[in-house]
Amino acid sequence: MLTRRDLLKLGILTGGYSLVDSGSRGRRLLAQDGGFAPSPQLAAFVQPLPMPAGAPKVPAFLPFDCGTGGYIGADTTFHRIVEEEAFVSVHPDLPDTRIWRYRPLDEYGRKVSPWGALGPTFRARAAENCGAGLVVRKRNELPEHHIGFGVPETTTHFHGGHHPAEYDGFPENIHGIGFVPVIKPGQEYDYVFPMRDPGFRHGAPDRTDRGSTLWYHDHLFDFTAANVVRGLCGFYLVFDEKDSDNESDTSSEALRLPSGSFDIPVCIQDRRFGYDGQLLYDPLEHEGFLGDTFLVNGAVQPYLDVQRRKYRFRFLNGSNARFYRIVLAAANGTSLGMTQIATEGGLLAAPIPGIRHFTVGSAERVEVVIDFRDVPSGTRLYFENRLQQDEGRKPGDVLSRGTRLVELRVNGPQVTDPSRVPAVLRPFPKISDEELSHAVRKSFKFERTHGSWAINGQLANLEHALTSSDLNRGEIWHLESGGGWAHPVHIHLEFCRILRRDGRLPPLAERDGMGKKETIVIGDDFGDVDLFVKFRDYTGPYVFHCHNIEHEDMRMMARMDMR
Amino acid sequence: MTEPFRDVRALASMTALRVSAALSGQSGSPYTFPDVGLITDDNRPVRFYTDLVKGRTALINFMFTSCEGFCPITIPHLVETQQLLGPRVGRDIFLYSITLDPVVDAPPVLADYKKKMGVGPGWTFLTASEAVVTRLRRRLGVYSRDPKIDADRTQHSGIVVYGNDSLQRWASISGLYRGEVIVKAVLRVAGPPQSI
Repeated sequence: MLTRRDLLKLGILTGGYSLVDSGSRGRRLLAQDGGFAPSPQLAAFVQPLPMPAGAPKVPAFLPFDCGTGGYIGADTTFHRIVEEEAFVSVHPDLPDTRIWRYRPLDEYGRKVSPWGALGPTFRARAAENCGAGLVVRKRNELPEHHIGFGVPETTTHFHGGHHPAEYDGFPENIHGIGFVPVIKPGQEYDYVFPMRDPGFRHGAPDRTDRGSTLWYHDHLFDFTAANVVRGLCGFYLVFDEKDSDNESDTSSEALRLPSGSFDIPVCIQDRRFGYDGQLLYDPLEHEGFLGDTFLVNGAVQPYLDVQRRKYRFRFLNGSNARFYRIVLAAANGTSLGMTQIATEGGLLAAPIPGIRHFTVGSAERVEVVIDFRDVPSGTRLYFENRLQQDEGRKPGDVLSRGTRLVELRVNGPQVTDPSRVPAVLRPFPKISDEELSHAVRKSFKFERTHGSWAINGQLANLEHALTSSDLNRGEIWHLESGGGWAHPVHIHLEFCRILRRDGRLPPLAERDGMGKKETIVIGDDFGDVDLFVKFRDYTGPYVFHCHNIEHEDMRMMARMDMR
Repeated sequence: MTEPFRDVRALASMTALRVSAALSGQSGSPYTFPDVGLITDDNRPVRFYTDLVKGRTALINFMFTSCEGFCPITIPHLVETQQLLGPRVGRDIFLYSITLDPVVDAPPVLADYKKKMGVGPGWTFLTASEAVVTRLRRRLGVYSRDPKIDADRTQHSGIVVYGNDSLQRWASISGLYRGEVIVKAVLRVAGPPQSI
């Protein structure tokens, strides 16, 4: 929420805005650093923030199987998408860009038109019981003889999901796992997302372990970075009776967070472009790709018209290696307060009001609510990135002024606002001392070795598991990084509880009892991390890896088997 | 090292913002390498791009004959790779090893090393001036940001760069992997054998 102090500042400082992004210093530094000439300078805030639509429901194409131990029931919804090459406009002054994207089909099998850069936003409901999930049939229609970076073989990871191994987007086809996740052009793959509460198989479904903002992206072994720069990214939102996607919900359980057109996904991606509008990417730079042009939901530095009421913003760092420190800033750079309500591990136990900034590494999500009710009409505010980063290995200095990513144009009178941010969101108990004392202890060191990246000295070889876990048994993982590198570590299948960061109590938003995480930044100034994780319900091979995707592709990944 | 992308810079300097995408063939900007001169282990002068990479699938690593660290591991793994790839090596897949020690590793020294390591046909060892080797290393991503480590050849990067020039598809993999793992990665960019 904006405080009285914020508003006072605003009253003095509102009015006027710059069409030109203020990040030119960053551009110069980047140009020196990499092998590319700077991307064309493009005027900011000349196009609206794209809002990727949902995927239409299509007729069921798999049988109901709840009664026989499966996950598909009467309330399961079915969807179809294709992966395709397309030319899209990321900015009106730039020629159309060749990208790869997910695009939904309608109930008649027709491609939904028009369609933009991001994939459809899936909207799922979490439940204790079988049959409330999603089934997505994906068809790879990428060009078989594609020339340029990117490999047109795909496996899709629904990031943050608690899903069976065969629907988790395992990165490679290997013998003996019982499924073939990587598909070539012309092939299809069905993903079944049960959306059942973790722990159901052991009779202890945990209703507090529900995600909120998930996303999906390609996960092809060795080529994820190139395929994701090419496109192949979308949102996957999870709702339930609390977070019910209805701010006017009359149920006593409903939180009534801002919903519908006041619930805004914000996917931030840095890219590089030639003057022909085409993406530039060097697959032989392994420290981590840094772009000099910022896309939000597929558009270069867009604007968003906002009404004078509360909004929910779901930030996703969809970049390969760049960290962002996001500030809500007035035109003169004054930072304003936001209320954090979620991480990538779902809603917090309670909102954290008055935050002035938050930092997201690759794949991390942070959700905030901002109330524009008392912001004068005509005011321009900005989501600004105030983190310098000139090398892939870690973020640099905090800046006093950064790059404006989105312009928020506050207009009109105050409007009726049925939404709210209750004082309690999704409370959950900390892991008990007893459970911690029985936990299996594991330690993983993420470090560079002779030009590649390793975990415990091992380069990824998905034919073999680096570690195995017994289902429903708690584990404490110690994660550390060597050599001054920062690594956003993503653990598939489960949310984690952060117990200690550098031996100390972690920041509030990721502290056990307040928030949960599945992408955890370690190394450099972020320090080491001790976390608790308990894998449940699904057996088979999964992975954990660095989500600096260039590091991941240089094999900073490990297979972990559930048994 | 902006050399490989001079085409983009040239475009930038000579045209307005709106350029027809047709200028670049709508396939993204060409992915090019410096066409620098090297000498093969049988004493032939070659150009890096024109003679070694153009239209081919190539595996490229850096080594030196007196290396006691990485090379005694990597080179045998590449020998395995060569054997597993079979007759495609020398036909549409080529291996190149470039010395980090050009003063010592003259062509006859490289030729002896090849023989000693059991290297078969289709795999060329190369030397060049230190400046050329450094330039190639930078372009191929085979370097350390730490200048001390980068200057110390005994700590050199053990990665193998591989790619298919026809598809402009490039990647790298550690030479610590056994041949079967390297082959699996390489075949993802090499595709099926060309007209046998």
